Amino acid sequence: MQTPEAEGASIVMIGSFNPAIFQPRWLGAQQLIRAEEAENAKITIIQAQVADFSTEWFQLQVLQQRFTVFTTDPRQYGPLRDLAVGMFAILAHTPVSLVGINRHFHFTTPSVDVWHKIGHRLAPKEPWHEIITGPGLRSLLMEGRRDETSQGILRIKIEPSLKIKHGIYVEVNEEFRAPTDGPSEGAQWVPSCLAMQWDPFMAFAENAGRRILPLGNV
Amino acid sequence: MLVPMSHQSYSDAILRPESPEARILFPAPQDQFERFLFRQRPSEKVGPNTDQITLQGQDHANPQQDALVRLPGLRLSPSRVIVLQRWIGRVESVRRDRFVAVTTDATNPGNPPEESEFDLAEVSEGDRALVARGAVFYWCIGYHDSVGGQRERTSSLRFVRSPQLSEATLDRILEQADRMATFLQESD
Repeated sequence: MQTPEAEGASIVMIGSFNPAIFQPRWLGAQQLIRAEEAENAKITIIQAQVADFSTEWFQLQVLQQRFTVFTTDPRQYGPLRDLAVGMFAILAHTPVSLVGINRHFHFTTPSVDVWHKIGHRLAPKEPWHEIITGPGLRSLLMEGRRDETSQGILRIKIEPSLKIKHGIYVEVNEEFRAPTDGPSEGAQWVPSCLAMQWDPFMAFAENAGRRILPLGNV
Repeated sequence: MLVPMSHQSYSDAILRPESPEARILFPAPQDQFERFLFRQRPSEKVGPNTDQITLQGQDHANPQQDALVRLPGLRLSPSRVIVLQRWIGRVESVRRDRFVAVTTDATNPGNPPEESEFDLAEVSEGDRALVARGAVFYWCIGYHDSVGGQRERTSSLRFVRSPQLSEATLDRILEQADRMATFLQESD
């Protein structure tokens, strides 16, 4: 894959959370992060309704209905998954209804021409010329499944990069719902979902990213 | 043709929690690095000099006195890391200042596992207590580009941290394992 100019991965959960629990000290006490990382975490805000802090390799933001853990360091994708698994193995009774795994890339295109061609391939402009003047692709969202047996709903978003001039932003998301059968109480399903889905999803996302740029070469 | 996204725009996804006092406007995913607003009533703004009981009482009397708290969005790291190769290792044996591990190539999974020897000094101090037979770690080789543009070649080890399970959870897992073992024995 062409090396992206920037990339990241995140895990987002929808449920009912108690943000005040999610403190660096708590993560340190549970030995989910190093003691030094807990001590040196940059806390933005920790209150009953919201917790937001970052260490040198991840950022955690928890609202009452939404949990997000995020990294832009590709060395830490595995540890990010382990961190989320660890937290919800401990907080097994926290109600979690949805888990989203996300990966994003910002790619540079070799030329403006290639950049435009990618947009044309993904969203041909011919039908639009009769409707609007100067049609251009701002955002494209495709939905499907990773494979026939996949339980999650997969979405791929393509946009012009906000970060890189004439760059392409690719975001891959897969969403998993709490199982309707088996032990779905609270967050008990979350660790196994992340353990099983993370590696295949990450490989899929890299492959998807790899396939977008060549669309401009045709 | 693609259209440059020259200005930030917020999506129309508005999360409306059951609690009437919170209104959160989420930005579109690519805008997550921007700020969004979190509306909060003064009663929840806990500060060192805040008398919560008094403020809560005032809030009940005047629920319109909301305050807007600006939350940071998800932040991008100013530096850049490029991973050239990554492995997952499992510690086989530990000596006084070295350890031997079997490493599996996670970049090219088709490659066979290899045995590698590491100096304990390469392990971050906070992880050294985790170095034991059976411990799993991530090993990455790559480049780190600093904000100033300096590229450095890096090799980093990070040991996997598993949650400390409660006795009840351990009991539940062992009970499940016993049930499974019994089931398998009966199947034979």
